[in-house]
Amino acid sequence: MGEIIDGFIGALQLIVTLDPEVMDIALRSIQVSTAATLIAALIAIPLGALIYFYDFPGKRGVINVVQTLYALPTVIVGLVVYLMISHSGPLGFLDLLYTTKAMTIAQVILVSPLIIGFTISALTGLDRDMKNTVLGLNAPAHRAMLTLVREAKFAILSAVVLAFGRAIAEVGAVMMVGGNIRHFTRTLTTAISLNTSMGEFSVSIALGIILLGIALIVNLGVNILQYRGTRVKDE
Amino acid sequence: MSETVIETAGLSKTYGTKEVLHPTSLSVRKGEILAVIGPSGAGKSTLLRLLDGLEKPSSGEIRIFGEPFTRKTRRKIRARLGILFQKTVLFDRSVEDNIALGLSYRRIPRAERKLRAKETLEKLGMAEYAGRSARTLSGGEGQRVSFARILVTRPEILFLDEPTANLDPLASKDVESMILAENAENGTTIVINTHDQMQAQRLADRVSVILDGSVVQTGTPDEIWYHPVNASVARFVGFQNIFDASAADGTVSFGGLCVAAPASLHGDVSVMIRAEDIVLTKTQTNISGIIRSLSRRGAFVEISVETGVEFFIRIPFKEYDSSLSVGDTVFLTWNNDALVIGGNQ
Repeated sequence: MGEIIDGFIGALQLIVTLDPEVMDIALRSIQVSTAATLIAALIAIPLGALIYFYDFPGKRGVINVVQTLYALPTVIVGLVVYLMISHSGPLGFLDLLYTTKAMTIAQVILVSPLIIGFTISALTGLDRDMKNTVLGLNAPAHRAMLTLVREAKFAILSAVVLAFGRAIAEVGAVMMVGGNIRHFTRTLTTAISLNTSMGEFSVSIALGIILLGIALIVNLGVNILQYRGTRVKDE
Repeated sequence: MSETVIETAGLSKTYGTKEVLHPTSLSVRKGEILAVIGPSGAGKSTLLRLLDGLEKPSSGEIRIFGEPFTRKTRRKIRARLGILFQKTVLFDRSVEDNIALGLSYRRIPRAERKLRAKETLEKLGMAEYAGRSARTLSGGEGQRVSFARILVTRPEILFLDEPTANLDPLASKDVESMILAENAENGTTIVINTHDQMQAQRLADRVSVILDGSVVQTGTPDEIWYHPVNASVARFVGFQNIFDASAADGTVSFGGLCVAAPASLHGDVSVMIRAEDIVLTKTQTNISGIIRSLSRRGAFVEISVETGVEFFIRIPFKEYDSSLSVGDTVFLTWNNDALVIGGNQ
């Protein structure tokens, strides 16, 4: 019990004094996950809109696969990315292994299905006559999709914020492809894992508190967006 | 005769194994208002969505402005069409931006979009709404804005899918006025789906009746409401007296009665007559019967008379002879043109 209390006191000291190493780790985590989420959003929102917009054979199957990938194990993503970018892998020449770029790639793969799936759900949630109205106004396909995505913006933004939450909280893939190298690829989750195994509970707890704080902000963001979305619908 | 702007041949739509629209041939003339009436689920909306290219036909052909309406020609033709749905669709932006949406898809410069939206709003008497969020409008205002969003693109053909079904009578009247004004001022051809038969009569030059996925009859309102082609149409447009009959040698027999008919008629037919077209009299005619029931229906009295078959008669309350009672023997008569002979489907 004393160990936990001491750990908490130490953690608070690290946070209040803005310990450089803790801040460095937190900042890196935020940077990597923000970049991954933005890249994933840029790919996944248009992809989700395309899947929603067009009817094609096997559409239902594609949606099922995307939804199954929500639960994609992070270590599998780590393994696949590792195999691709390791020195003997097909993308080995890019020298990405144990860099923050590799970690970003892994997180993009991890959260893209989430954003694709939630974009499809958000657009499906719109009134069917909205799509027909846009088409009836003779919108070209890309303009029609843009209008509909704009109408579903709150639900889609919620998905993006959730994806950020999943990205920043994952440990398996970034550990495998980033290598948890101090001052280079160490993130909140990999640092917690390492420090706990070394008995450095104060640092682990401090990082954990920061991670929870980020989760809280993410959750708050989702709630605000969902509230705005419902309010717009009610109007 | 005006040119035909919409023509379908063998147009059908199947979802899964269910054919919701059976092969349909329909033509609409330039500048006319065609009302499509039918019960819910009859295929009216499917027909309209096919005509606007929102659904792909399972078979058949659509020609609009004389051109086949296919995937290749769709956007070019659709630029001259407009469609309004039953459910008001408003986008999360200002009223003015909602109205200008179709213009922005047509790459009309921003200044012109703004001007045309403003003019349209002024015409609607809604100029002060321009900057308001469209989501704050009432149902009637919203549907007028939805309608204006289409009118501002100057369509040559308008498809209206039950545009007033969700509106109160006053708001419906506003939308009906917009429909008539658009047709009168710009000669816009209009196809309107409605389940409100009175609305169809108020607005339409011609009416198509669609039942169970088939267009059963197309004609002027008088033809539809007074000369239905068969029992199904008659039932739908409110005929209460529909009898199975058989025709032979220039006569039609039903329920012990025999009336003259065209000599060309043979076999099973239906005899149909509106309840309000039957005259009930105490003076002897060759059709006599006994009153089985009398009931008040608003401004009318509905009387059931048994003559061997059961006739329903509707008399305005003010013209009703209050001395009549159940069990009385009465006589029936009608004008020759009130009795309609048609198919027995």
